[in-house]
Amino acid sequence: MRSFFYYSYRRLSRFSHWYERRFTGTGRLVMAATVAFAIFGVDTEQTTAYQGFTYLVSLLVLAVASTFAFRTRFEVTRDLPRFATAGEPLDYRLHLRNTGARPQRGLTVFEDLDFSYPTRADFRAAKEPGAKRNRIDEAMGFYLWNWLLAERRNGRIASQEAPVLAAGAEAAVGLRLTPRRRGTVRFTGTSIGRTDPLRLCRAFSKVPSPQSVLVLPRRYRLPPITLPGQRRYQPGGVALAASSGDSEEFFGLRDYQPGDPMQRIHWKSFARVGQPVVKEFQTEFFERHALALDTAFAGSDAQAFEEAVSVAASFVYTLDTQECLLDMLFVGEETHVYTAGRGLLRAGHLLEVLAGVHRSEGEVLADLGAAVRERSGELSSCILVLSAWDEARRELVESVRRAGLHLLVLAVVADEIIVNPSTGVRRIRAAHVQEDLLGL
Amino acid sequence: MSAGANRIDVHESGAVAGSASVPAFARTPFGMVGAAVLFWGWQTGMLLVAVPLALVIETGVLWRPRWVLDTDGINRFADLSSLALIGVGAWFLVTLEAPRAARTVIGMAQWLPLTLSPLVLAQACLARVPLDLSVLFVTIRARPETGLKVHFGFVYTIACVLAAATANVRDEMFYGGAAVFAAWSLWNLRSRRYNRLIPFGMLMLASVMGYAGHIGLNQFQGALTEWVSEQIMRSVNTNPFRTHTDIGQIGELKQSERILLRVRLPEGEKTPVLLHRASYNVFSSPAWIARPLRFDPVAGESATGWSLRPDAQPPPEGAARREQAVEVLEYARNGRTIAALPMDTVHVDGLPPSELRRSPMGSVNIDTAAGFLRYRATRGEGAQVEIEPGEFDMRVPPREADAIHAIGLELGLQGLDPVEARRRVEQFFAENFHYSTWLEASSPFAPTPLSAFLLKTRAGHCEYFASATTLLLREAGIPARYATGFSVQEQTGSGDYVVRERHAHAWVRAWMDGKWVDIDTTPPQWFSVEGGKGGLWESLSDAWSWLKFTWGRYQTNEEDAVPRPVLIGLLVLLFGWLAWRIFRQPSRRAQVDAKAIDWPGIVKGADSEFYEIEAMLAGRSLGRRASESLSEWLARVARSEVFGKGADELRSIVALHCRLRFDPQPMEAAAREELRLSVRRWLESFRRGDVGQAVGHQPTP
Repeated sequence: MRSFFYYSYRRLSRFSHWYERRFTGTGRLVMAATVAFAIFGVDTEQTTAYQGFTYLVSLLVLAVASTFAFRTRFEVTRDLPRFATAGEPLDYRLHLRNTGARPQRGLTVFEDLDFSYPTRADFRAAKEPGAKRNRIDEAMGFYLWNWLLAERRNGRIASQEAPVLAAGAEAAVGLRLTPRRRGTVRFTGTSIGRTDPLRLCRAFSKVPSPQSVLVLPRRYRLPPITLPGQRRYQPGGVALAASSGDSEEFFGLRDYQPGDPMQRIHWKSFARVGQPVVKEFQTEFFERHALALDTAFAGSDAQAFEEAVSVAASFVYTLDTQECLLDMLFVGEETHVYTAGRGLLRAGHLLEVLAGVHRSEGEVLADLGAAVRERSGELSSCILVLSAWDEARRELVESVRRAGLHLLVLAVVADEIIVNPSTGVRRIRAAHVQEDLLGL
Repeated sequence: MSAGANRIDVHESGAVAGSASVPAFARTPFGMVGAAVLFWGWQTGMLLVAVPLALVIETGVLWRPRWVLDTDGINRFADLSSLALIGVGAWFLVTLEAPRAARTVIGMAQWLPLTLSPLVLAQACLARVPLDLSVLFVTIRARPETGLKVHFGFVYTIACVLAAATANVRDEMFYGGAAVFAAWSLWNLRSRRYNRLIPFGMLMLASVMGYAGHIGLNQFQGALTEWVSEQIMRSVNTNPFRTHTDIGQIGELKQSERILLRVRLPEGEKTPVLLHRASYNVFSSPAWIARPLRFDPVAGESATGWSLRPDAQPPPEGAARREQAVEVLEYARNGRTIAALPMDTVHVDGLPPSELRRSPMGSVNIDTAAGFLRYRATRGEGAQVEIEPGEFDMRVPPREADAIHAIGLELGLQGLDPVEARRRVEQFFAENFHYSTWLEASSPFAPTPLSAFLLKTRAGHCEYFASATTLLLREAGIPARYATGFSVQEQTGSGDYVVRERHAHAWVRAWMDGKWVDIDTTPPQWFSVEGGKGGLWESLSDAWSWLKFTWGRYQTNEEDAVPRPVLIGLLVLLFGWLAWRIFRQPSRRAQVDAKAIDWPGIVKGADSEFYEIEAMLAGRSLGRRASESLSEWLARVARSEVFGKGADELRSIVALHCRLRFDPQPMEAAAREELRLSVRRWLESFRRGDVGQAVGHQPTP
């Protein structure tokens, strides 16, 4: 039965996509009227509705017939930024050039996004987050299908009327993309629609213009947060050491003491005073925080994971990395660590990374715990963002805490899951993230 | 010219962009909606209603209210329209005569301009934006929008034209009106890309095509209906002029289990009962034909019934008549059927308004509205309906003459007394023949299938028996006709009888003692031989048929199962409940929504009980001004002489409220409870008059 619904919905969606593009609002109204007249005119002896039906059918036939001759060429370019943010509308401009020999007016611009229909397995496995449906809706899965389609399409761009285009002229059309979730929105091309004289249906000229925009995770407002912990000695000094060897700040000269490395001897001074003199560098003490994101699979609750990514993104965006370092850790196929602050990566880079984070299977939690513990000597504190709450995660929290780190643990969970407050873990309900974050 | 010089920006020069296309959501042209209403009134004869309605709609545009409707308000108007539509439908369903369902649908469509008027008035007077079509369907309102926004006047115009169509005025004016309104609506919406002659030409061409199309469609449907009814009639042997028999067919005769009629017989009636549909007198193998071919109207009406024999003794009235009558319920797809009547029927009643015609051969044709029909046949003594025997009733076709003559000689029929001749013929078939639905190829020595049946195979189905008996009786000098109809003998659990397609039967109607009598020589086993296999499919099909006929019986009931006032009362209750549900819903939904909205911290503490105090004081002309902070307001309230002790307590409440409202740390449960209790306390003492007694009655200085 599920596969029957799947195939029906897929056909219906295909048809409605085609229908909604091919026919204008007026055309669809005329079509609806035609159906109504057909229903009431089924018996031509009972009512005269069939007369209205034949008239409307004639109109539609003429309108469709007049769309066949539309062979004009266009060129399309977009002023598209690199990033967008999930849920935030992005306005951009599309430049449309008429390369044909005749002026064009009354055109409508449609953007074509890369999209493939969900497979049957996708449909079977999908779970609509946060929705409470009655049994019939649940069994039929229509709302689920619509949700799944919107998720996969990941973005809606309303069509826009283009201005008059003289032959060879170019015009800019303002369009608005609203991405639904983080990831990538890929444009495959642009369809230029021209209506028939009565504006009932459209003919299309398709222009391939592939391009993409990276959608950063949704971010929430955080209350002012003071992270616990003290400044820690950072061996190797300022963070640049991480990328280009020792390059600490020169502090002064002092007498040699046994044990000083040979490479720190200041030879010129040695020659001048006849005793070994070494260069002294400033010892660096500053705050370094870790933001660890739990990417382990935990059932089918994808929403909690998405929200956990958003919470992580909110921290990345909010924490002031002018004066401290922020290590972002998560486990994919291997353990990834990205450090931002003090001249290293910027918050934007971390958001970019978060846009592409996926859930992984395997020993993710253990690896994450190990990675955090490994750095515990350098870290002032750690923010642990969990995408579920269970025994394995409780152990992870315990193990990190045993390493002596100041911890702020946020567990993003479904509404019905209870987190014992005695564990010191803050519960963030996936459906009320903003509310719960503000209560931190 | 360079490309740069040609560049036109849609944002910067909106006028240019606007000139390229008509705004997508145009208003209806002035006067169109009113004209559509008048058109509807003219076609349906409801001008008295239409004229004021048109005036109100058209002048509504001139009204400039200070407020406009939001989506919720528009939805309520839509709900009002839906309720009106349901109410009208329910009213029609209760008050109209059969067939109710079809008439109700047509009636609802005809009243559409009235039932949709709240919505069009809301659009004309109060809503300045096009409506999303989701307002029309409660089920899709949950979706944010259908993507189809339209000025409701267009939809209403369509509804008016559709409603006008249900008046079924068959002159050219309806088509003309429909074409005019379509063109009127579309003209302003046309694409400005083209010279205006092109859309004009399209509209003209569509008018011509549509005109030719509707004439063609009507003729095509007429021809199709005729063809289909011919096919249906052929399948159940009810073409009153000609019947095509299966005489001469080879192989198994298969007939369907489909239930055609449900019959109620008088108490104690012996079965089988033969229900006659048509008689034929000319045999042209394999067909029987009726001569002469004509139908004459039968006088009568729904209330009194139709008397088939005016000179016959009138049947008893009321319940007595019903008990004695044979009641038949059947489905007439197009409202036309040949009645299945028992022998000696003198009176037919129980039909909705219909036209009855009868043929000289005893067929009664009913012409009424499509759907289920029920009729009762009362039997009695009287003059014959059928014409007296003529030369056609004595003819034996030359090709069959040899076999008939041979059997006639064998039975010694020539010159025999009719009663004895009938006995011999019946005995001949009963003793020498058996029933079979399996038919073999006729013998090469027999010239016709019927001769083979009589002389060789001596086995066949009812058509063979009836045809052979007819011709043999004629050979004996008895005028006889081939009669078709149904044999009623399968009783259901409820006591009714069902007649399936395979119960179609053929027998002989012979002229004896100055009247027509039915003679059936088919061996009685035929019924069990053709008996159904009783499989799952048949049970399911029977159950479906039972449901259908139960609905049909309800629809055609003359006396309502529930008295009409009770039914109307129930409907009013139901309607009231529905109205209450719909109009109560938005407010509840709004409350739920208000809770569900994820206010991102802006109204943290919105559930504070302090607002009740604020509202209470506002009611006593001590409300907080927009410019006042809480503390300023508190100071002002406290200055009013009445707030001594009350003001102190209020201060502590405000402090708690501010904590709840603005402290980023969540408030601990005890403090929250304290706030709740102290507000309750304060409000109680305020109401009692301990504090703030003189608020609102302060003496003016």
